Amino acid sequence: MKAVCWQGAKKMEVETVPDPKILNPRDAIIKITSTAICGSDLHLYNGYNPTMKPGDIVGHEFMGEIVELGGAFKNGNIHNKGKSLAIGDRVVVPFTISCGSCFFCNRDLWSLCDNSNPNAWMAEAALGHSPSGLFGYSHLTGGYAGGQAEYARVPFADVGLFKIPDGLTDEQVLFFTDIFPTGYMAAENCDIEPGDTVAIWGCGPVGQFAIRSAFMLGAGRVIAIDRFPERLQMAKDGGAEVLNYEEVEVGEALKEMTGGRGPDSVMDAVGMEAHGLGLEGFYDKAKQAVRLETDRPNVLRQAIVACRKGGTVSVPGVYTGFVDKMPMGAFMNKGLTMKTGQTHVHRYLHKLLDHVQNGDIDPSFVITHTMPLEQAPHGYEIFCEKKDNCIKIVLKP
Amino acid sequence: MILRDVDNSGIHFDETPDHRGTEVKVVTEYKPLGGAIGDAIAKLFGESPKQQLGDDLRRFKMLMETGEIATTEGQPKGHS
Repeated sequence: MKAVCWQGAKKMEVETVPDPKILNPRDAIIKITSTAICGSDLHLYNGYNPTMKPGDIVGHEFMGEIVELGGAFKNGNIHNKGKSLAIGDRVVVPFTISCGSCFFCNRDLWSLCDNSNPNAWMAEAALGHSPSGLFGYSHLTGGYAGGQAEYARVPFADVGLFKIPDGLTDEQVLFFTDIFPTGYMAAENCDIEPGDTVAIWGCGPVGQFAIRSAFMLGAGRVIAIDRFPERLQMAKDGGAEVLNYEEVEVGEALKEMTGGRGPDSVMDAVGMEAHGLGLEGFYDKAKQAVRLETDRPNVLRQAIVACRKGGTVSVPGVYTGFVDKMPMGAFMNKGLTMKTGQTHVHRYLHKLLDHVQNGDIDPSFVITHTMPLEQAPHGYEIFCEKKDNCIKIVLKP
Repeated sequence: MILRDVDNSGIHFDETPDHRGTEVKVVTEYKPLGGAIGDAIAKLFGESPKQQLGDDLRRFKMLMETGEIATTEGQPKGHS
């Protein structure tokens, strides 16, 4: 089959590789009908994850049709959770791989699964404990082959696969795999009270879903921050007021827009490759270039300083390593709360499907480009450079 | 690896202190080849007996809780 493989920084190549096989009894094989490139894939593309190996198949936002099921689905195996799956079922696949039985899965904390990372020893050494395995996201999270391909193997399929009812297009449901639940969980993590003002840094696809989710959760105002006109426009289309950080000083602007108090909650939907301006930006870029700092927290710093006292900092933005110069003084003395984590996708699937079926939201709004899988390298380039007004790319195998 | 008669040696199954699970503890004694230095070198390669035991225990937990051991061996990949 064809698959998108990492071959080094700024080098994604489409190669012919063997088809995936059933490896464990609870596996399923999916024939992929649609897949997407995620903002977090760009951290891999730009070479910021040290545990990638040449040949790794990437991609963690994918859906399709079941073409093969492992042995657990044929016999009455005690670990089959009883979800009936059949060849031909149309499914979306959460990007987090979860067993459904451990301490964390049982508490709805699916991205913290104890049992799905074969390289748990590596993550434990780096992080203290290992989170769940992820599709296509480096050997730190298990080195699982990803879904920017024609086929994929899905472990714990009885827990992972989410069946899609008839009448919805791929484009309407593909983002259940990651970015819609991610934006929704990030908005939930803002602890929004009715009428609250939420400030969101980053108008990429996750930010876009976070804006709309914040309103769904009762926010009175959402202020969205970015510098690309097409992204600011899409944010406005979602009801947000916008700030271009290359034109205004965001901290001051937020104070003015909120009567001096600051937003009730703030969200970092940018993560470790934040674009910093001026001397601060230069400091972080320089340190990162010589690997004295692994992640650039420019947005996180701003968000902490801008948040009103007693407010909440929600961090869906992905970080991998360490950051410098955290304003812990501001965080502590203003009594802030931080909520973060890789998305607990399974927690949100039914609720978000309801929203789509009720017509509350059509997730396909975020798509700006659709292209064949073979053009993935080009897709990565325009997505990374934000060329051609690119916001979200869907790939068709 | 030989399990010798050390005080308390063997494999122990107990309730965790918070009563929310089962703790599996292996108590053993081993003499690393090459002494302390040999052990430190083995650790760098992930092959000290303590690390190997840890890996085995993790795999045992996976088997008990899910019926499988998470793996990617045999999955496709591109050229390297």
